[in-house]
Amino acid sequence: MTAVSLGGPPRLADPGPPPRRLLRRLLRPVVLFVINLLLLSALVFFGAEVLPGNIGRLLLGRTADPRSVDVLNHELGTDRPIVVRYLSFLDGLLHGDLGTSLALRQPNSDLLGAALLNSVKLAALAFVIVVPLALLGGVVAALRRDTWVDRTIIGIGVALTVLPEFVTGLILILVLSLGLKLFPVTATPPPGSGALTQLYYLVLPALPLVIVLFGYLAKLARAGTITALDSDYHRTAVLKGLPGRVIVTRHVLRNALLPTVSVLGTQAGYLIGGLVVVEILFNYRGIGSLIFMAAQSKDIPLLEVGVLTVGVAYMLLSALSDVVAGLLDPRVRSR
Amino acid sequence: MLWRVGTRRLDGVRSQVSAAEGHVIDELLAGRLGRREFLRRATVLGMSIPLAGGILAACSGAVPGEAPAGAVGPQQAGGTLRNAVNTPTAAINPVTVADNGGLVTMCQTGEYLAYTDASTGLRPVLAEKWAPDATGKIWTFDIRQGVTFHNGAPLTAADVVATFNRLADPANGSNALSVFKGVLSKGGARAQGNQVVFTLDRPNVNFPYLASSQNYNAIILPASYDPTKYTTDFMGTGPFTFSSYTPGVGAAFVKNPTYWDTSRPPFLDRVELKYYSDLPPQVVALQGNEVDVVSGISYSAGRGLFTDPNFTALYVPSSYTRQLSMRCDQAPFTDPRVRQALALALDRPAALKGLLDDKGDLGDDSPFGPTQPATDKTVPQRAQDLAKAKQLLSAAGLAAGFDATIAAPRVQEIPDLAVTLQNAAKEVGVRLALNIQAPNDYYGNATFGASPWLDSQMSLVDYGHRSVPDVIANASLRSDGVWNAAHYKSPAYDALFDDYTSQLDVQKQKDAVGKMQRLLLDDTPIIVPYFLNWLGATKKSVQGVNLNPTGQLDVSRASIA
Amino acid sequence: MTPDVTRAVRVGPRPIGLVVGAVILAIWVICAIGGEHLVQDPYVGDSFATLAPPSAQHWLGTDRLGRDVFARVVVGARSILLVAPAATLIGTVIGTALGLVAGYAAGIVDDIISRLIAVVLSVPVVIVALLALVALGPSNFTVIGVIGFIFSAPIARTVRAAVRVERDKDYVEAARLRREPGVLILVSEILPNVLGPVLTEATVRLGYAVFFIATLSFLGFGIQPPSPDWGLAIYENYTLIRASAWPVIVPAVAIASLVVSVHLVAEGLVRRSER
Repeated sequence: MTAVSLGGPPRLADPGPPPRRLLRRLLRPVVLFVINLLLLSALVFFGAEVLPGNIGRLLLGRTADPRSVDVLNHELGTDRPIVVRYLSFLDGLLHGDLGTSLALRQPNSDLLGAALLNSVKLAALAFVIVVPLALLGGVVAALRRDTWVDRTIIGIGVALTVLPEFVTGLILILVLSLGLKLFPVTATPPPGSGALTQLYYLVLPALPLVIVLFGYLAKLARAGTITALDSDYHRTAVLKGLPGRVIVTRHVLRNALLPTVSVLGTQAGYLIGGLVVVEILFNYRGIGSLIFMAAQSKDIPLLEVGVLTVGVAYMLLSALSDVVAGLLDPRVRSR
Repeated sequence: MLWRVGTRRLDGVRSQVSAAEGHVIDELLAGRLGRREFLRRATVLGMSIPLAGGILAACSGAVPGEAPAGAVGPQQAGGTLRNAVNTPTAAINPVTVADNGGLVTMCQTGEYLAYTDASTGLRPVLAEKWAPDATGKIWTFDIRQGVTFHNGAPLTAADVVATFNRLADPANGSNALSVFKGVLSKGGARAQGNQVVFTLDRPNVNFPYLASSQNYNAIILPASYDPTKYTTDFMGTGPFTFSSYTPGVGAAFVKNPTYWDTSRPPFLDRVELKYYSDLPPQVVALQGNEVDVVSGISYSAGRGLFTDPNFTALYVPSSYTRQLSMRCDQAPFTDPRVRQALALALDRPAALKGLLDDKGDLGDDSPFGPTQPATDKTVPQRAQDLAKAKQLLSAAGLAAGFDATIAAPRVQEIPDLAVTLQNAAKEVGVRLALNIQAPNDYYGNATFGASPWLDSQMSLVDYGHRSVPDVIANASLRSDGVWNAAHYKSPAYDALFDDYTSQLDVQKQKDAVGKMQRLLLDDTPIIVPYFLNWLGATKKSVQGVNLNPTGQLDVSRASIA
Repeated sequence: MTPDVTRAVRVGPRPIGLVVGAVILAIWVICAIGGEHLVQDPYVGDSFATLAPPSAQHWLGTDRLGRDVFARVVVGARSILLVAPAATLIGTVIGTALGLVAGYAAGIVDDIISRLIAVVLSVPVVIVALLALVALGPSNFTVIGVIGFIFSAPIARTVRAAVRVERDKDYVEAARLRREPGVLILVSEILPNVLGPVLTEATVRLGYAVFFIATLSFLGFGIQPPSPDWGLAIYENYTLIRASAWPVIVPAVAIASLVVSVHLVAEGLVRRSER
C-alpha cells in the first residue's frame, strides 16, 4: 500500500524518541502548520491584489461616476496600502475577527459558517454513500479476482474516476432530473425544510462526487483485501477453520478499510475541489461557490478566509486520516 | 368625459394643458407623433394616462389599456410566486445598487415617483403629477397623499427630497451620480408643502425619466434611511412587505394588506426570490419546476424556453444594445471609408436571426433605438452591401484587406457577435482576431488608459436600456464623452447633441436626432448591429408578470393558478 | 490532487487497455492535427439552421449558432491536445528542477521549497487555478502556465523524495569526491536515475491536465471563444439541452473518451516500464 498523501504533514521516521525529541516531534507539525497558513494567507492576499479592476468600480459597475467609486473605495478601506490591509486582517484574525465581506458588507464569519455547513453536509453525504459502496465493490472484486466481475468493477470505476464532475453532473441532471424527474435540479431546498427534504435535495449533487471517488476507493479496498487474503494470518484463519464470512468481516474488511480511511484525507482535498464545480452546477451555496464568487468580485477578505478555511480543513483532514489509520491498524497501534 | 371628445373638441383640451403639452398634442395631430410616442411624450410632461388616452381616443377611437404583459385571462388571487434572480453581487442598498439581482430584490418593496412602462411611457406612482416651468429647468412634482411606508409612517415630501439629495451627493458613493451629472446637484430638491421642487443645473425636458424607475437607484426611501439596516426591513411603500432575506440564498416578501393603490392591489400572497450565480442554472431551475419565473435572461441562455410549449415567453422591446467601436484616431480606422466598409459587410437580419432569433430590432449604427421617442425613423436602414464595401476598401487603398483585433467582454451573446463580425469581415478580406475577456478585466477601471474597452483598436460593449438616449449619445460619442471608445471627435456631432438637449420642442428634438443619425451613418465611428428585447419566461400558470428592460421585475399584478 | 489511481494498486486494464487507449488517443491526435482540413468550417454557422438535428449535411447536428457540431468536436481536439501536454511539460520541467534542488541541497533551501509545495498542495487545484486565472486573465498561455505551475508541486515532491534516496548513494559520493560542481552532479548523475518516477508522474499528470483544463473551460476560465474547445462548448450550450442535446453530449463524450484514453495509455506505459 503506497498511497501518497499530498500535502499532509510530513511523517517523521525517527523511532524511539527520548523526551526532548518527543516534544519536538509534537511541536514540529504545529509550527509547520502555522507557517503553512501564514504563507497561504500572504500568497492569497497579495496574489489577489493583482486581480484586475478595483472593488469600488466592480461593485458600482462600469457606468458609475468616478467620484462614487472613490467614495466607496474609501469607505471600504481599499484605498489603503496593501501591507496595511494585510496586517490589519491578520490582527483581526488573532482577535478572532474574520473580517467583513467587501461586496456583501456582511461579517465573513456568518457567510463562511453557513457555506461551510452546507459543504460539509454535501461532502458527508457523498462519503456516506461512496465508502460502503466502494468497500463492497473492492471486496467483491478481490474475492472474484481476475474474473470478469473484478475487471468490470475496477474498469468502470477507473473510467468514472477520471471523468470531470461537470460532465457526470450534467448527465445526471439530464437523465435523473429533467428526464425522469426523480430529483430537483438545484441543491438548495426551500427555506425551512426538514432534514429529510434537505437530504433529498442533496442526493443528486452528491452523486458526481461519489462517481469520482468510487473507482479510486474501490481499487484501494480491493488491494487491501488481496493483501489480507494473501497474508499469513488469513492463511492461519483458514487453517483454524473459521467460516469464510467471519474471515472476510474480521480480517479482510479491516485490511480493506485501512487504506481507504488513510487516504480519505487526501481525497477530502480532491472532494473540496470537486465541490466548486458541483456547487456551481447545482447552485448550492457552499464554500466552493463562495470562493468562486469572492474571486470574481475581488472580495479579498472573503476570498482569504474562504481559501484559508479550505487549507486548514485539508491539512486537518490529512492529519486526522493518519491518526485514524493508526487506530485501525494493529501494527501501527502496537508501535 | 374626456375620452368621449371628438377630434374637433381637442382644442378644448388644449386650453386645459400646458404649452408644452399642447405642443405634443399638435405633433400628434400633425401626424408627426405615433400613438406610442405621443403617450411617452405626453406622460413625461406630466399629462395623466387617462387624459393622454382620452386624447388618443379622440383622434382614433381606441384607448390603450394598461393590461400587463402576459395577462390573458381572469387572474386568481393568492399563492406564492417563485422567481429566479441573479445573486446580488454587492451590498443591498438602493443608493449604490448596480446589479440586476440587487435591484430586483429591492423593487419588490420599493417604489419610484413614476414607473417607466415599456409601452405607455411614465406611469405616476408616488408622484401624482408633475410639470415643468416654461424653460424646463424647474420641475414640480406633487407627492401622492395617503401613502404610508411599511412601518406606518406617512410618505412626505421630505422623504422624497432626502432621497434625491442623497442620490445627488457625491459623498454617498451613489450610483445615480453619473445620471444626475450636469442635471441635478445636491440640494437641487426642496420640499414645498406636498410638492417637491427640483431646480436643475440646466433645462432638461427628460427629467421625469431621470426621476423615475428608469433611474433605478431612485427608490423612494424614508428620510431616516440607514444603509446598514436596510436589509432588516427593506422599508418601502410597495405592494409587498419584507418577510426574510438570506444573503446569497434568497428573499421573501408578503402581500401588503394596506397597499395604497387600491385600484391595483397585488394578487399574490407571497413572492419568493431565489438567487442563482449564473443564468443557465436559472433556466434549468424553471425547467425543473424550482421557480415559476425567470427574467432578464439572455436569448442564448433561455433559448430552450422560447420554443418550449410549457412556458410563456416574455419579450419587451428595448434600447438594450451592443456597440462596436473603431478607433477613429488609429489607422486604418482613421479613414471613414474603412469603417463604413466593415459596417456594410455585416448581414444584420442574419445576425439578428442567428444570435437572437429575431428577438430584437435592427440597429443602424447609432445609439438611437426604435423604442426611444426622439429617434427619426425615416433615416434609411443600413443593409449589407459587399460590393460597395470592397469598393470602399479599394478606394482607401486596402483592397488586400488588413488585420485588426476586436476586444470584447464575455457577456451574454457578445462573444458570438464578435464571431459573427469576424466572419462578416472575412467576406471583404478583412482579417479580424478576437480577444474575449472576462468582463472585469475588460472594463478595467472604465477610464481611458486603464480599460481595454476604451483603449482597444476595436471594442464591443453592452449598453443597458434607456428610455431616452441622452446618456449614451453623450458619453459614448461626444468628443469629451467618458465612454467614447471610438475616440470619435466630431464638432458637428457635438453641436447637434447640444442642440438636441436644449430643445423643449418635440419636432426640433427629432430633427436634431435625425441629423445625428445621418451624420453617424456617414462617419460610422460605431457599428450598432441590433437592439435586444428584454427577455423572460414564466410557467403557463403564471400571468401578469411585467418585465422592465431597466431591470426591475414587477410582479405587483402577477398571479399564479 | 491524487495521481495514484495507477500507483496505488496495479490492477485493472490489461494490455488491451493500452491498445484501446492508444487507438482512441491516436484518433483525437489526427483530428487535432488535421483539424479544419478534415471537416467543414467550424466557425461559420448558418443563422437559419441553428440547433438542427443530425442530417446528411451536419452529421451530428448544429449548435446554437448553426455551426457544425461534428466539425467543432474534431477541431476542438486541438486546443486541449496542445494545452494539456504543454502544461504537463512545463509542470514536469519546473517540478523536476525544484525537486532536484530541494532534494540535493537540503537545509534551508529544501525547507523553503517544501513549504511552498505544501502550501500549493493544501488548496484544491481548481481553486488555485481559478484564482490565478482571474488574476492573469484566461487565455491558452495563462492556462498552460497556471496548470503547469500547480502541477510542478506534486512532481517536485516526488522528485525530491527520489533524489533524497539517490543522494547518499556511492556514485554521488564519488562524484562529489571528484569535486564535480553540484549542478553537474544533479544533471548528469542524479537526474538519469530519477527519470523513471518523473516520467511516470508526468504521464499520470497528463490525464489530470485534460480533466482540469476541461473543467476550467466549463467554468468560463479556460480557453476562450470562438474556440471549438469541448469544455467551452458544453458551457455555452448546456442550457439548450432540451432544444438539442447534440452540442452538449458530443463534446461531453469527447472529453470522456479522451480522458479515459489518456489514463489507459498512461497506466499501460507505467505497467510496462515496471515489468
